[in-house]
Amino acid sequence: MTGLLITLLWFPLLGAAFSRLAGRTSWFLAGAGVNALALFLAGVLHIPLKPVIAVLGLAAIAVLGTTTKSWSGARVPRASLSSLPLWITAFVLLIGAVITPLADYDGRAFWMLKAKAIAREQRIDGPFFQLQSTHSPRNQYPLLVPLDAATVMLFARDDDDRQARALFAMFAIALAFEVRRRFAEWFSPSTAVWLATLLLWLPQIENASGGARSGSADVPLAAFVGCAFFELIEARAPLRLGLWLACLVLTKNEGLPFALVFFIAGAFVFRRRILIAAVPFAAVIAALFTWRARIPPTDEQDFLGQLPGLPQHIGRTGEVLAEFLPRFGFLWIAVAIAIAILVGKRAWRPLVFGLVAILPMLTLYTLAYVVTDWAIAELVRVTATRLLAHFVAPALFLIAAATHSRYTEISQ
Amino acid sequence: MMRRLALAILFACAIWFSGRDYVQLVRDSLSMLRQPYEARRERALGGDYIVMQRIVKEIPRDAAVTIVLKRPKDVDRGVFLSYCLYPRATHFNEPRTGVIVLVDGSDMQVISR
Repeated sequence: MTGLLITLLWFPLLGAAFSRLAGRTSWFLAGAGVNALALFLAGVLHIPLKPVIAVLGLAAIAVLGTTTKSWSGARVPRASLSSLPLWITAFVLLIGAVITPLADYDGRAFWMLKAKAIAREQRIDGPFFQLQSTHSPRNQYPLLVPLDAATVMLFARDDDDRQARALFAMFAIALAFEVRRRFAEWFSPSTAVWLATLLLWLPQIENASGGARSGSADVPLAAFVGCAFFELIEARAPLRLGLWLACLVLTKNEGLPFALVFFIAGAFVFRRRILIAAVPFAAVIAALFTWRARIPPTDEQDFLGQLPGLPQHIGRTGEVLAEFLPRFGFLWIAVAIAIAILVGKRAWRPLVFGLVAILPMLTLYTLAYVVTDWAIAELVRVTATRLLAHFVAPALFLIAAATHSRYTEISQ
Repeated sequence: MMRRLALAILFACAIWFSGRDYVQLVRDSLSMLRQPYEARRERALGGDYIVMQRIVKEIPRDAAVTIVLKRPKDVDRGVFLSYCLYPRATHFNEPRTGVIVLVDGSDMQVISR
């Protein structure tokens, strides 16, 4: 219960302060991003983490105490009876995650172990990451999620993984509420509520193995993909886009190519203002590579390094598609129909945004399966659902745009 | 009308695929609520976890542990054991120093101190 309270207080506090400075966004996701980015940059500079957490808290309180809301004119959906399904689903997911123990492989083996080590050592390049203490699988995985989990553990003075159970569920819930806020503005309040609720009912989001009830970083990545994608559509706040790009880089290895795709798309949307987004994005990339240069790799899969071998493996494409396509499920059938409807309506702008967010990375994931030296069927079975979860926000956006006559409002 | 129909179909699919998970989550939450957390873990994680906890209790917190895998496919159990043993220093197979734990399928035991 301590971890739940910390999760519901600390990250929204930081996110509320960030929203005051950069415009309204998801308090929880912005807070989780700001917290981990600050701790990671401090860790690379060998600044102890506890004082940084204290400074973050004081700075957030100062910002909230000395500034006024800048989004008072924006449409913010109010809690109402119609949003009851979303609140009930979110409540069941959150409380269920808090009560039931962590049981997935990646969550314990990779992510939570790093969080425990950071909470204990107060460093991101200490004995654990130097392989001088506990065995550290995937030693060079990015640290956003472990840093946030470690923060909860530090506040709770307990490095048991149960303290961070609420954190992982909240990434999915915060994304659902961000979908509701954005879709209410762009489409309609009822579409927003139902698609946000649907998000929490998707098998790839709700499950205990890689989803919101796991300790894995795929749902956090999906949340940051969603936020970056919404910033591109809104085209108003390059600083917020920069935050989400930095978060993508620090969440999972797949986040860097994702962020590069959004950054290139952002250059077309924001023009010269993309330079504002480039500052946090470039800083985090530099910090990530600096950190990796200091710590030894262990058993990370180098998919990008295997890509030059694509011509030799191209014959496996048919086998990959045969294994991968059946994993797409009903959401992707709806997305295919939505794309056809948008083409029929000549709604090019939402279509292009949606496809830019989905196609490049989906192609990259498919190519990674083609060049892998794992057994394809086994790798697809283990990873496909989690990888497809990354696209959930753009997928729901395409469905909303196709089913809503007001889609033209965002194509202006 | 079409929008409502589309949303209804999507929800029906979601409930079809995830409904069982949510029902199970509610059942587990209600039945675990009054249990101590360790009992919840034993119930959720099963026999391996119980064996690992027995080993964890046998080994001092400042000990270095070598986890010896009988077969390569025991690596997942070894990784979980390493997770349970944290913050004890662990390494796999070599060098066989400190406390040695043999992982042989679901049979895990301390073979040397």
